[in-house]
Amino acid sequence: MELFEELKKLGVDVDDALRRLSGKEDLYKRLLGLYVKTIEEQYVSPDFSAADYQQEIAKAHSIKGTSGNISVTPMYQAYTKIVELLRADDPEGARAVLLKEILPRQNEIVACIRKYQ
Amino acid sequence: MNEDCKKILIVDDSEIDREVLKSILWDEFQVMEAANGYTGLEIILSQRNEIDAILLDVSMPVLDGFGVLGVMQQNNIREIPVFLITAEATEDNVKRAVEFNISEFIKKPFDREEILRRLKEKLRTIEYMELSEEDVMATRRYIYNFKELYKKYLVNFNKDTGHYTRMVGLMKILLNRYAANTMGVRLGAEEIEVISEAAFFCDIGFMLLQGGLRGNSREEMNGEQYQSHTALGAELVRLNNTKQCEYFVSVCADMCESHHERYDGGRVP
Repeated sequence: MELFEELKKLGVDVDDALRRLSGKEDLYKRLLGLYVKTIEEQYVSPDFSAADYQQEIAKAHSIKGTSGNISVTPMYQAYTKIVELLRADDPEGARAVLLKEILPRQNEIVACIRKYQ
Repeated sequence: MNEDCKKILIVDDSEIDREVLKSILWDEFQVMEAANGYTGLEIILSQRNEIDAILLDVSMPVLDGFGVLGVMQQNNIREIPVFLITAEATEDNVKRAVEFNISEFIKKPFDREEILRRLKEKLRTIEYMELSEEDVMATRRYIYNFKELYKKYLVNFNKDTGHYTRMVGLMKILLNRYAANTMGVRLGAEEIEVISEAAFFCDIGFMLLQGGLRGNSREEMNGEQYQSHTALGAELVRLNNTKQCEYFVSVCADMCESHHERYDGGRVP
């Protein structure tokens, strides 16, 4: 499947995800579609200026777990970092990670999945 | 999957996580699902006698996993094993889980083999009755060899093998009485023998501790290193992953892991 080959190039551990899903490729493809929807719904805004960014932590935490379960490894690692930085009360650090590391790669992965849906 | 399969309820607001879990469990369990805490509670309250285990997400909007546990506690629902799903078992989560006597966490990303093994162990879906004559023979051989090896360690480090032999004997007496006096529990002589033998290895985790720590003082017993012998023992026992010895390994690892646990879930682990 071309989608999987392209995702592998973007760092997604497709083989690991398929192992978890007993090799069900169609299910994986459907979950990737849901993943795009989740990212849109749970969009983590880089504006951490609000005094209370608990909601952003909750959203980043949720995307982190889901990314891990379907082995979108770059996103799993980056959102793990965001959650840690926000919990350590470092919104500036979190913003830098989000803008420099997460959003560009996330856009590439989302565009790739969309292309094959 | 057949109709005798145990029923697992998944309560998780993430459709992706529910789908991944369903795909892991589908072949071996009957799966029910709820997309939020309230729907989960409705199912738990109306079908409590049919649910064998619950996989419960900690972080859910509106009613989170601990909220669900609170209502279960108010309704005296304590008999269903609960596994808490979380991306990280934070100190706060662990503390709150302990308040509900829950020590089982399932971490994301999900580990297929680990989830199945832990569920099976908890629900004892590996039945002795399923063992063939060859399996029983292989298990007996394994117990003998494993015991001889462990005895060498005990002797070399001046430890008392008699203590563990007595535990096997005591376990046999208790199991025989338990089987005789408890309605609905079917334990054959052979099964009692195998379970009793597992008691010999309950402290085998000490082999992996520095300096042969034995927990001779209260201070030592409260130490992290001493307390790790339970999990280490289980890990060591599970190194045998042959199908033939699956039943014994499951019982023995469980015994290693839980033999310091009190009736209320306290102590180790």
